[in-house]
Amino acid sequence: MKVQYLKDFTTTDGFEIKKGWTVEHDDAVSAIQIAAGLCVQVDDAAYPRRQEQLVFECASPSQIPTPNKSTFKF
Amino acid sequence: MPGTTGTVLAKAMKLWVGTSSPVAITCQVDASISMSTNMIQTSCKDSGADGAYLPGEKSWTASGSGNFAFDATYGESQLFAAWKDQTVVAVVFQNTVVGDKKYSGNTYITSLSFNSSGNDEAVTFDFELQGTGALVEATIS
Repeated sequence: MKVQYLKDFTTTDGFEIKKGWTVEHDDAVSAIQIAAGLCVQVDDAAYPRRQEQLVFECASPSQIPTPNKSTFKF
Repeated sequence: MPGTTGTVLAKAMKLWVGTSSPVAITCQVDASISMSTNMIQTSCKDSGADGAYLPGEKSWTASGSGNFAFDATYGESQLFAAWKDQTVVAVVFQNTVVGDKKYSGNTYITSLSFNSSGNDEAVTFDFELQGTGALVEATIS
């Protein structure tokens, strides 16, 4: 199963995977990585590449800064 | 666990690198694994007309080829690094079907070539791996 990493990850063999890379693991490994929140499944036709890509993650509301009204100018 | 029934198709059967989180070598075209036994000849002048042999050392190799891409997750660049540094490459020959068999072991890269053939072809790479230690058969779970 091909997955795209949301975070940097280094395998126990020392292979460094960067955020955004597409990697093909076997299905069991991919399932473990997905469950750990490290990656998401991508299409089987996706080319496994090292090109770092934009990965959009959801942020909890508490992480979103509230704009200070005084910073707005009209 | 049930595995593949009948003929196993080649498309999903690949070489993977690593032990705990194996990564498929990117854009493979061919993948193979080969086992052999050195046979020790034991026939002598006192033997009859038929040759006699005993099995000696077992050995195994793996090899493959793929399309060359500079941005491949695990491509020619990673193989080149393992060849240059003479590091052990743990490989697995398997598909991803639960219940099917997989074959794994440690190797060293004995040959690696990059090929640009003609004018209207993909650039490719070929590699050969010499197994060191046992080749282990297990079931994909």
